[in-house]
Amino acid sequence: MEKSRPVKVRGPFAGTRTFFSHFMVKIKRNERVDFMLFILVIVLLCFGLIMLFSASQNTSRENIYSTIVHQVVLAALGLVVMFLTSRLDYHAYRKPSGAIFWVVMALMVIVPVFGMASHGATRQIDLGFVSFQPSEICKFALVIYFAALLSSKKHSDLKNWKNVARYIIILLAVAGTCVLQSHLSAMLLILAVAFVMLIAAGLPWGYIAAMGGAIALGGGALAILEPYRMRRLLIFLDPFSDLRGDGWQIVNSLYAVGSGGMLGVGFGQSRQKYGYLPEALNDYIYAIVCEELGFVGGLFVLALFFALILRGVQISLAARDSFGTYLGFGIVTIVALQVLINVGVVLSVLPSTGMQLPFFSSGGTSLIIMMAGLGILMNISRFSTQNKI
Amino acid sequence: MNKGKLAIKGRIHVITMLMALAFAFLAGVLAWRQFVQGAELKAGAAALQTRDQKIASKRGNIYDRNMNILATSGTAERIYLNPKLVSQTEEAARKKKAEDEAKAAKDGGKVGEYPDVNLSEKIVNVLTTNLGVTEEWVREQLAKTDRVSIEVKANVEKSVADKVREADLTGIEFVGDTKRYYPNGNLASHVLGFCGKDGQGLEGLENILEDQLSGTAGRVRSAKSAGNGDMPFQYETYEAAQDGNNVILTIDKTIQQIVENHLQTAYEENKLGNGAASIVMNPKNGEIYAMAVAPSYDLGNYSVIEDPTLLAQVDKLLNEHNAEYQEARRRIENGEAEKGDEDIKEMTYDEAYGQILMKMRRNKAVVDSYEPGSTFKTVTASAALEEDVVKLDDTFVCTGSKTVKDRVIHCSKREGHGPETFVDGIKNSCNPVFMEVGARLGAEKFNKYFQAFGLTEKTGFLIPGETAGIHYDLDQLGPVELATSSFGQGFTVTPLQMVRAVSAVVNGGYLMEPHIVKAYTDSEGNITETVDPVVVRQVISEQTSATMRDVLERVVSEGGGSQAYVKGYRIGGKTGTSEKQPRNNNLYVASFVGFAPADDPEIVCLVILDEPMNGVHYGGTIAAPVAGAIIAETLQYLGYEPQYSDEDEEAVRISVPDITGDGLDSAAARLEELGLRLTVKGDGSSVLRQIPAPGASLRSGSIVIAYTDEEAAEDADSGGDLEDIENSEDSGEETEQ
Repeated sequence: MEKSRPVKVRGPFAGTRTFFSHFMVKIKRNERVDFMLFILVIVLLCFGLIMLFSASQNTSRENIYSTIVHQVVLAALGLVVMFLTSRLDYHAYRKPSGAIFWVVMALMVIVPVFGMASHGATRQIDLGFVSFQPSEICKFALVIYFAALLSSKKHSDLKNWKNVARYIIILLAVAGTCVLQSHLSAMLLILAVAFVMLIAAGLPWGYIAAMGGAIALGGGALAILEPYRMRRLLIFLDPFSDLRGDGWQIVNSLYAVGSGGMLGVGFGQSRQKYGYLPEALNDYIYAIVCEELGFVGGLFVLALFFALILRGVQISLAARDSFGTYLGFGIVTIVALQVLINVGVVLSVLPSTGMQLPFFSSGGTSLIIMMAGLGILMNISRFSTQNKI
Repeated sequence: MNKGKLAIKGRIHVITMLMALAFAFLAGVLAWRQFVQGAELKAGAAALQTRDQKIASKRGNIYDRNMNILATSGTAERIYLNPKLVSQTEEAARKKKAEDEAKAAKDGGKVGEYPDVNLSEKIVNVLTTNLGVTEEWVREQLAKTDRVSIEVKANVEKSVADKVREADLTGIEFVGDTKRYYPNGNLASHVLGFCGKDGQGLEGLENILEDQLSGTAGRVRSAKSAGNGDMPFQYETYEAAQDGNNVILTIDKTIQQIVENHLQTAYEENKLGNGAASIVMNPKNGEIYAMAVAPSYDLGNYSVIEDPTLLAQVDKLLNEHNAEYQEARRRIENGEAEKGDEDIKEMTYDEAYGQILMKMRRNKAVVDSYEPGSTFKTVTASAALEEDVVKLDDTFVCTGSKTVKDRVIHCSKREGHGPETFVDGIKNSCNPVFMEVGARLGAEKFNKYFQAFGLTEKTGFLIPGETAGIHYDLDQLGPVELATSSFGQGFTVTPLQMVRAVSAVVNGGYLMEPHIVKAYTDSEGNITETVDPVVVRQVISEQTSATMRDVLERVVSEGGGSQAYVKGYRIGGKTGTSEKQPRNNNLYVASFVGFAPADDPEIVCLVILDEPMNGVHYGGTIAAPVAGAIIAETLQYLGYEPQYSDEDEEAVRISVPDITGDGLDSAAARLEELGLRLTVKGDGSSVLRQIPAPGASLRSGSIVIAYTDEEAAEDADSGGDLEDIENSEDSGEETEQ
């Protein structure tokens, strides 16, 4: 509905400016980053750090500051990266999107071979000072790639089965590499994000049904092939049936949440974090939030994320071009699905999967990568036409 | 492009809407979890996070009336075995050793010491040496490698536990515990009872006073991390343990000891097949001074039978039962099975042992009822005198039997006592006299008094399993039943009921509630409750009671109870002998109930000897002397000096023999035989002179001085040593006591 702005040719490939000069450009008044988006990101980041600090106050740990110091360093790095990506014209990703994606895919294949073992599945690259999961980058690489493809004249027509087939082949490749890493949750997330983008781009209902069915079937097949997944899949229906076994994590998550009540047991006062709730710093940190800050705190976190998502959607819709729309919406979808799945698992309405809560969960480079993604969204916001605050 | 963009917008709106719904759904679930399921989940979390630790309360002491400790609790330990840890430790040590040896073989490194390699062996060794468990058992437990806590022994004394601790072996764990101590061993075993290994009272007062003694265990409820570490914040509730109350008994340790000594002697001398019981009670207030059962048992070893008679009974029970079993098997095999044969099971030694063990622990004085026999005549006589159906000088004629309806009922003296007064009838324990008196009373009044004396009801005594005996109800009490009941046959009472009834006969007619607890104190020793004497009812008048005291004293001083007579004391009482049901098995109960001092009874003492097997079974012969000895010693202990009558005085005085000319050794022997003592003065070897002179009368234990040389003899002539002799008379008596 909004007026389309004349497209200015920008980016490193449009003129003679150097790559770095992009970051030096003086920002025009009407091309500022969306303030509301920025504030939401900063609030979430700070809140996440505070809660992680609280959750890591556990006497059974040798150094109660190690986790938070590490995370703060990552957050600082994340802020730098976010600043950079918010400055770099998002169109810069468009042309190399395919190359970026396939390089990441190559990493995804290499990881199981050279990666290090963690949690029985190999999915990390250790760079010495920091380890990272290529699947984290893969999410964004795929979103960028799909956004580029979907906004191109050539591949935007999803009524053409050849185009659809192209997307499906890409997704199968991603799925394959994830299976190689035994990283089902990443696969699920990436496929779901891609699926949402395709739907948004006008994927015909027939395909939607077919692909949805295929994903369900694929997931089901994997669950049957590997019984431990099936067990983990179904235990959430009645975690108390195996309290000391498979149900332990879920039960303790529910105990934490249920202990919270309206206002919680108080900041820093969680009891479940003392070894009862496994992964209290990671996948289940939301349970600690609910325990310490109660319904009010839990709802506040949901509200913050939802506000971020709504703002992200607004920005995407108001983006200058459809590449921006797809890219922005894809990034928003990543955040949305991660939050929904993570909270769904914590509240035991979804089977347990290893899904992190953005800004809250500790570890790895996922925070940096997430902030980089949000930086891209900010960059989109600079040229979008939503009501800027 | 524009159209495409619009389509995207529409779909993105829809997707965003779905996301909003999903968020709203999760918010709803969050509310559900926290508010609807909150309480339940919170409770679950609390149960998971908190550990309850019990704080044992100290069990109260049991004291006798003079605050001598009869039962007390001390700290002890409970030892556990952790087979899982043992096997893991051992495994780890073996692995380490193998690795180091391999390394040593390769690079020439050193092989260290691996003490845990044979941990199991060490554990077996330490436990079997110190805790008395068998090697077999320990190995069996060690094989259960999935278990983390198996109790090896409870109530282990600290000194023993320390020995195990010194071995410092992984997998042996210690937990605080308490142990019950009975410092006097067997004393009052049937009264006190004992505690199980978890400290709960199982028998006797320990059992029935459990609520008073046990106290309330406290607990610490504290939050712990999953690894059992402490939480940094205070999240702890502490309920202090409430130590148990102490109990002060009416039992007097010394009297109890006196009773037990005599009862045990009587038990052995008379080869009693079914034990003995005795009660000493204060008739004025119902306080039990002593209650003993022979054989007694060691309270520290309450599952062991030491008494040879009881051990023989185990074998007898086993053999008899299994003979019956074999017989039943034989009948079944021959196809002649009778009803119930199939139900007879073979008995193991342990089962037989267990049954006799139960018998050993039974407090016969309260639980077992018996036919009181002639001791019951005290009750009949009291009732008859109270109802004025008989006078003391009424005359009766005993022909040796009496025919009631068509039954001929004999007197114990078959040839008959001939003509006699009622007093003589009591002294002679003449059955026909009492049949006549019973008939004069009539069934209704007899029954009234039978009930009034409390012989149909439990006394409400604090011993588990008290019974009340069996008796004829009024409508069953025909002339024959009345006749036999009148002299104490055809019904049963417990020893305690009997003591109480006789107390009422002699204490002025008041039926008292017998009680064994004098007071309760809290753990600090402040008295929380005292037990006051309770008069249940007055049964006979003071006058009748006084008459009975007089008559019963004559039974002892002149009649059938003379064996209970002790010089210097006024003792009253009545003997009893009853043949046990079924009759004609030559099994008897001999008993004696006595009281003293006869004019104002301070104690009533009942002695029951069950199934004497050493030829004599008459209460007057075997039970009376036991009761007499108990009464005399008890009175002395209670501070009653013997009051010798002139006649008694003469009887106890000893005429001094002539020892002049005797050697010192023979003189000492002669004097000792007579109950005198010799003091030698001078350096000679034979007696030249003696003081007092031969023929003088001295009391037992007095000193006779022998002078063995002239120098000393001169002193004797001057009479300088007479003072010593007079003084020695008193000290001599002291020694006798």
